[in-house]
Amino acid sequence: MTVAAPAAADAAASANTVFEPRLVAFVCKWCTYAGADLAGTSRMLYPPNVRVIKLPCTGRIDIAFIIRAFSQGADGVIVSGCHPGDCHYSAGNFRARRRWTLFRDLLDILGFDLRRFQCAWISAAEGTKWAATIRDFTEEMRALGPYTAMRQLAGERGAPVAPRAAVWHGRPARREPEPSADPATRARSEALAGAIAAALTDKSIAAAVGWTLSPTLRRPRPLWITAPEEADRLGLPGDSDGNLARLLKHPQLTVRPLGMVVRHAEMQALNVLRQESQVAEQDVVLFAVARDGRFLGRLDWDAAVAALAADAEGRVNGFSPEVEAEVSRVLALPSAERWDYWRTQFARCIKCYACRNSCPMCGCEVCLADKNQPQWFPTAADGPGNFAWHVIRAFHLAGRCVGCGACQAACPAGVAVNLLGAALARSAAGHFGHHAGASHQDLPLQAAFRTDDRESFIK
Amino acid sequence: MARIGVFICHCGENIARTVDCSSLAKAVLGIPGVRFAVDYKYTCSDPGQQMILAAIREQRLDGIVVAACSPSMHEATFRKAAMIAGLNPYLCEVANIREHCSWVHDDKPAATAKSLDLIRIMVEKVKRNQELKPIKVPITRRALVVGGGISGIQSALDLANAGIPVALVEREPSIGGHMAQLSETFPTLDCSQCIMTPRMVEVAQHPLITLHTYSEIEKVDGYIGNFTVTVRKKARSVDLKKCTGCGTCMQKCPQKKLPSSFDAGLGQRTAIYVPFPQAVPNKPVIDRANCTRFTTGRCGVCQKVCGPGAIDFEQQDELVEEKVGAVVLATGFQLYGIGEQSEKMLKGYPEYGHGHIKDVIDGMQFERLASASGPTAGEIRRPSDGTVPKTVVFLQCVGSRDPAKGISYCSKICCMYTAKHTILYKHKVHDGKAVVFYMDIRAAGKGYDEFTRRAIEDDGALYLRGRVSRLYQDGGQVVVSGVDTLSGRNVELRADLVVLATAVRPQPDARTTAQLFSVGYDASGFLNEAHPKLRPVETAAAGVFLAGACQAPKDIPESVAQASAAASKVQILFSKSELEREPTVARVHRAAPPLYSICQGCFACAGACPYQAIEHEELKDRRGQVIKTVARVNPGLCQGCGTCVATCRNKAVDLDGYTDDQVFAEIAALGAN
Amino acid sequence: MSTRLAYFPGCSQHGTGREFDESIRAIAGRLDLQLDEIPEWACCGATPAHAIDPAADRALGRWNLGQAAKCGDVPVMTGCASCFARLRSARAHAGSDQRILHIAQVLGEPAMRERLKAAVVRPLTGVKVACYYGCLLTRPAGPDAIDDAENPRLLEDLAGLLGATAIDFPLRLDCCGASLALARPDIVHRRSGRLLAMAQARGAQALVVACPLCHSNLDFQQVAAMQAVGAQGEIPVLYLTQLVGLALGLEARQLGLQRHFVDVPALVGA
Repeated sequence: MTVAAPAAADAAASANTVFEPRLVAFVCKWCTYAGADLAGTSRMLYPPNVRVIKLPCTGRIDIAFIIRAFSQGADGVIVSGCHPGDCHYSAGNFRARRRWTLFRDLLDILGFDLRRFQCAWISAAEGTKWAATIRDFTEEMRALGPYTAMRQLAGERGAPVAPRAAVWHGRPARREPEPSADPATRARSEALAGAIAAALTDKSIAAAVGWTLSPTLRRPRPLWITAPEEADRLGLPGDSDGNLARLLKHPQLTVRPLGMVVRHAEMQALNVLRQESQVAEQDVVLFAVARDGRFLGRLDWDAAVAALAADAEGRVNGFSPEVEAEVSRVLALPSAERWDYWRTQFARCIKCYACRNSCPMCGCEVCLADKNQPQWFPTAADGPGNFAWHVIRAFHLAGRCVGCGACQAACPAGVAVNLLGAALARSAAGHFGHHAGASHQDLPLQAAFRTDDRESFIK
Repeated sequence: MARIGVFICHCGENIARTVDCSSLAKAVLGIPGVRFAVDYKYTCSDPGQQMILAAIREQRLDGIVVAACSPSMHEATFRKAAMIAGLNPYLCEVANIREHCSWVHDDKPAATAKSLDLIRIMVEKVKRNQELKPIKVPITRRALVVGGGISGIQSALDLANAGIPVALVEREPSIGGHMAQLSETFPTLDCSQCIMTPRMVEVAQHPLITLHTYSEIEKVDGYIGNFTVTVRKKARSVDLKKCTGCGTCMQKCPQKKLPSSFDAGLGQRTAIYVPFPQAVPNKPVIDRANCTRFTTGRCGVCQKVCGPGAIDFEQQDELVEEKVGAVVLATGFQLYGIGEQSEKMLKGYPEYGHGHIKDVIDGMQFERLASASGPTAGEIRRPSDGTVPKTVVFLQCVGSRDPAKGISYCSKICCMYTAKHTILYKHKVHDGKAVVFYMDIRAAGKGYDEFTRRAIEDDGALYLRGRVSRLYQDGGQVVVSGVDTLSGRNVELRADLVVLATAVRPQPDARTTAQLFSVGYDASGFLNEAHPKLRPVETAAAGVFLAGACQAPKDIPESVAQASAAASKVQILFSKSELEREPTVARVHRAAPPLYSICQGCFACAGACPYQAIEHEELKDRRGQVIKTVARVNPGLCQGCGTCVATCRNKAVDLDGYTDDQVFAEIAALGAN
Repeated sequence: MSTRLAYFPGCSQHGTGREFDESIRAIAGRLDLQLDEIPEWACCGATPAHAIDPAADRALGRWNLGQAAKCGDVPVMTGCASCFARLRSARAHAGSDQRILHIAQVLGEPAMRERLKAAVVRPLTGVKVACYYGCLLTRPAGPDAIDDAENPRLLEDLAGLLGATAIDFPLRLDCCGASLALARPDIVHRRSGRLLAMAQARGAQALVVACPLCHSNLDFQQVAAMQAVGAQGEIPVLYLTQLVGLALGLEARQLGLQRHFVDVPALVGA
């Protein structure tokens, strides 16, 4: 006889009109793999649809593996490991559990059918549970039919199939204000410039970053200066969407201490960067400006955090009410419409990476997108490539994105990039009480865990 | 191009019944990189292994996949065969087509197709496998034992007698633990101190044992074979080198009415004290919290009367570093207190007077009353008025087996010691009446059931099966109101003394101990063994072993047995000069300048690592200038879970044996058809 | 500011325990509690309903909670231990988040304690009382129980607020015999007698209760109960609210003290 390749099996299956789903299981080698062994030694029959990929621990399971499995044609993915408290590595599964919670919420806003991604705890003693889980999952996927949404993406190239109406800039259209002749505003601006000039003069800072009014854009744009006499070019930031914390990563701006004009968004970003050892307290000198334009003075770290805290008012997890309203609107859509929403959004993406390059948190020296050994996701600006890019980027920002909106402002194609950040910030706050950038002492969301983190979704 | 060989095992009929092995072998040849494929009846047999050996040599294979049973069965066998053939053992992988396929499916074409996929996955993995060499770690041949009760003493003596230097750390001023407090021991009724104190003396005199009493563990660094443990030697206020142990200071100390914790609060001691006459070391310590000198600045009598001038009020805590290769934790237990509890889940026993009724005592207090060295010199006299109680009621399972009181487990030793108490009581008070309320009598053990029968039948203890709902003081007696469930009647007794067999609980700081040593603990706080059956003395932390009641309630014989087991585990570890560890550990990216490493030092990995295996490393240029601080994995600490890899955003860290490249290739193998 | 409560008197308060109702209403006036009697409340079902016909028990519970809702979004308050237990059970069955309070709990809330302390005009200084919870008031244990099931302090604390001294009374959680009063009065007499004798022996001048059935067994049946255990004398049995009323300076008649079988002597110089 010849070996029935799965393709042939598919054909045979379709002839019998029974759909045979392809299932991939990522399991830890200590519990679930051994549980599946026990199902074998106990001769428990279950459908042959599942392919097991063995890893040392659920903590090893990267969400990129799950995305890859779906884009390679899996109809369902199951992740499973030791029960909480039983992890061979004592706490790898606690981290995995947090990751899955966030990943599911991310998939949910994308309109992904969550039934296709299943999480379980199956111990080495639970051969019965393994067999039953695979049986039930196979049945469920048979009933659900082939997963085609991801494969359809493959046909969608970068041409903007989306109507112009899908362009989303994250806030109502508005005209930038004229340079103010208002004496109060001018006085504030001069106070700020004066303080920075003084700091440059007494050499307590080697350079400063702030804002200047661009005559062509008619809006503030970032400016860095190294001499006191340049300070008079500095103005107030207004509610510009950029985030100066990003400049800490600028390859030419390596001098420290660096003076920085900080608003609430910059301060939150600095908190996260300090958590991640990317900036030290003595590296920056802070000139705080409130949302209403008041110059609050040259402040030390904790004072700046406290002085700017009031500006969080009206924002949710750092995000503007407009972004929050859009997240709520998208989440209220039926899941198929949500998926379509994102398809049209991602279809606009030209993979210019402006979102990455404007983000204060995207500071990797070599971005995953630029690695090819292995290739983490397709580099083309097509359906699968864009999907993987935005999902993985959003996931890397989970618990770190402060909602400044720099990415949104930078996106030339009007892709709703910061909605995913806002959805994950909700998830982080709701499930784990984590608020990105609330303090520089917080533990990173995805590295920390609590033994009583939620897990109602795990079988 | 890879040269992979695939060996498909029939496992007799076990695989061949549902998987068409011969056509599978042909199909496998279609996988890119596979140069050789064969199916065979029993691959694990000697001829089967010879076949693998020959194929590796003749076909010049650079990787093999054996499609057979679970890797837990024969991965080691096949890797050894590969090694003999000159192939690095980590270039051999097993595709599990028996437990994961032939045994769980009955549809032959589907099972055959699945087997092909499982082999394809492993072929793609093995193509990307790297030659790995076991990691070798040197071993410090010296052990640390934490806790100087019977378990710790047993472990320390076993180790020292095997020629291994031991540091023994005890929190109290003397070793001895709970066993030194006991009167007699069940089921033989031999005197506890008579068998305990010689062992304590042996510890003190053993040339290979360094004793740190009145000391606690401050910090633990390192990993199996190479721990550095910092011990805080609390200030004793007595110079052990000068002190002769004459005891004059204790006789003269004016502060004489402090409750003796050795006597479970029933006796009194001075502020400068030796916990009990047979203490080791038999030299006093000043209880600074209660010493007049320390509380008011006046007094100092002890210093005046001390001939050798050993009293040192200025003495400071001292930190001592112990470098050891293995640790035995023998931190013991505490008893459930019926009073107000600091832990929310434990309610205490307000219905038993919440610890306010004087003649309601716990088992350890009864031990002290019955002990010849106790506050009553072995006469059973009740605490309130010192009279001999004529009716003593014993309540078992106080706290134990009662989730409403926060403890669901059985404390294991109480049935036996309560029987012992009734016997001791009857032997001392012949006309006394002993009544026991019990839930079940759990007397499994050599001579144990005979012992409880003896209490009931020979010594006439009245055993009532039921619970007691309330104890209250009424006149000079304690009213015990309970139920006898066998007769179905309420029982109300007037007792002169009530003894509660309170639950065995972990030490109050057991969780801290567990975290210090990265050992797991259960919901109650008992330290977790690595496997409940097959690795009962090991822990999740390699090189850290358990002995005694810190792991679960245990009696003396069990504690001693486990202590010896832990000692022998340490000896097994120390029997080699170097440790070999699985080389599947994580590694942080390094490259030539100017890149150095793509790690940007955010240390998210450090937060995610369960083993504190991530270290900070300063990368320097040729002139020694620090370029940046990045992560480094300590291969001695890393256990290879890979959580750091999934946490790292730009994948500056990867896991040998399970690299990202390999996993993606495995996933791609599934999409290939 | 006045505190509004939906008041569930229960059958006893309209019959044998009228003085409980009277005293609750009397002190409510002094303590600025606004009691809105639940319209058309029905018997809670007491012990018989749930013991014999769980469906009837559920129906009664649903009815009463539904009626209570008509008083608005305010807690339901009752004085009877049995009504309290049945309403808690009904609430649990209905999965409702209605708050059910016993009068003792209402008085024990921190703000109310302050109000109570301020309103005491005749402190019961030197009066020794035995606080008796009975078997039902603290049970079943749970977050909505009045206090710890095995170690309650509420009644003792309240007595203390009024200036009285609560004696150590170990039998305070034991059963009085409850509804066996009709079927097996001998049991009730023995059990109640024990309680009374102990309270008396330990120097209590009065027993303080918070349940009309306990009151009936301890007051109405006191002579027989005392005889059953061979004790002498008598001891007055007061509702908690009556004790509070006395301290607030209310008259004996306002508190219904004249309805007791065992005379309540002037506990304080009033």
